[in-house]
Amino acid sequence: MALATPTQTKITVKCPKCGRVDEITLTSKIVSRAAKSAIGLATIMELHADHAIMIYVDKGGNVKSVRVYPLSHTIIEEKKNLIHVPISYLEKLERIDGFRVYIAQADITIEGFKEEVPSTKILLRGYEGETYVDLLPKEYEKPELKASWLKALSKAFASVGKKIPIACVWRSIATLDTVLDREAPLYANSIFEVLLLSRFLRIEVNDEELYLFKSYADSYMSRYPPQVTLDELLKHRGGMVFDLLEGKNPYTVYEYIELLLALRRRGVVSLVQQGE
Amino acid sequence: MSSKASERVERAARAYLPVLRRKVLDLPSVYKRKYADRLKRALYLIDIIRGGGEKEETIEFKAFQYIAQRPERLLEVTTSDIGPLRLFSDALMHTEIAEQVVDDIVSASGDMKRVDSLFSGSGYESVRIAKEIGVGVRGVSEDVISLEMLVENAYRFRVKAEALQLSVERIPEVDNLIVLLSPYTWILSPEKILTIIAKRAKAPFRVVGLLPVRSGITEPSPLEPYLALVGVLKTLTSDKLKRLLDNLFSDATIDFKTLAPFAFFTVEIT
Repeated sequence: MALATPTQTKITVKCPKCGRVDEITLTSKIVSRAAKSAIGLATIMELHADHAIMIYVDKGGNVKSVRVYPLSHTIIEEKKNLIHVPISYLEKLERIDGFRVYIAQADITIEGFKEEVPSTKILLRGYEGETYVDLLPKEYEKPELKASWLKALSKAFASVGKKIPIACVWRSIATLDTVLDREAPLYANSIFEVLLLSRFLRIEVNDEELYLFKSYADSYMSRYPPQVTLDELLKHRGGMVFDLLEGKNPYTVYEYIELLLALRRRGVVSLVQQGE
Repeated sequence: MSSKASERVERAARAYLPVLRRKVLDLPSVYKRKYADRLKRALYLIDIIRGGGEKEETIEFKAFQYIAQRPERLLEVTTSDIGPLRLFSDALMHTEIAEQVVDDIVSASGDMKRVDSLFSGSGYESVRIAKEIGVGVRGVSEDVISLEMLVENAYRFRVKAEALQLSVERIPEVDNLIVLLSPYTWILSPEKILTIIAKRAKAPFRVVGLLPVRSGITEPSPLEPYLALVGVLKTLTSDKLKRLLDNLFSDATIDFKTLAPFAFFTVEIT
């Protein structure tokens, strides 16, 4: 049973599954969204170890219900059309003050902002068809670099659309935060696609290609950060990409996906999509 | 650059010819029908080249073992999808001969402002050259996955990269250091690509290339059966390649070395 206590702009929510208590700041935006919503509720997402909770809040800041979902729960299953990411998550980001993702196929918006966005602030947007990613960066330097990442992320959201697990949406934003000021590679959308589908992608290793790759792997791997190793990746052969990435920081997540894609180009690994 | 390094490539190619022959003969009939001419030529070449010899645990030997075991995939290679040649190229570009070629190029190219990497399998060699001389790299290739590999290598070496997906016919104006080293270039007609470079190169430029050659008209190289499967109809002799370069770049300074089974050349206009 969820226990919730509104205290000015903060609420505490106890997870019905694991008992973890989260303190969530309710921005006036969340409350006003609830007021404007047809069902009179706003949705806030919290990620726990192996599950997520969706907290439904009314315009008075009262928690009306809390639901538990497995992390592979996909956004299409979530009937509310706006999900808020709590401020506590955004505080972990270095380059991003807020974001909004609209996924057209699922007709759903996921957003999180550290504070109310003043009307003078400009959001950067990347889009693919009707799907878009808006970003409130901390710094506006090199907007073309940021825009190319947003384009890539939008493209990835548009291509995987309805199958995105909720946890992976947040992970993609956290990963975007680590690379935002670099030049996006021409395969940047593939990086996000792997990330967004990581729950459904199984890592298969092709032994003959691996045998050849290993003959020069020491030289090749020396250009990766030390925490990214071929052995660690190979430990997950037959397993899901999500498990390989689990518990790793966003920068390491990015580098492991780079490695997966590099090995896929060489035929050393195949990423096989499984059913939901 | 030593002949010892190139000889290792030759020995590796030769060592796996019996495997290649067996695999070709075991191909399903659908391939035998569809690619009859290529298979006939490959088998003919295998039969007139002395194959076999001791196998070694080196990158070169493992690379040829890899392609010898999958002739069906070599048959399906096209210029826009080079399939198994990506890994093969990447592996060969990590061998001693590639290291020596890169070192030779770097030592003579400090004045270059950009590397134009034409049809590189993984771009590893071009990116390393660009890194050493402190410039950016521009990759031109029809195979988009090869371009991704070039960009991926450029990121690893912190080199600025640009990628253009273009066929040989559409090679743009090229200048500075023009690199033709990867096995991807082996499947292109040298006459065609060098003629286009001669038309599009803008002085000052330096073209460096490592291309397979045969020693004489009647002396095929052990690379040729593999190339025959990909659809290469002829391999130039060393003399013919030299004459081709002399004709196309008549005002250039040309340095040409034969290190069987390759010719390594530099064409320079200042």
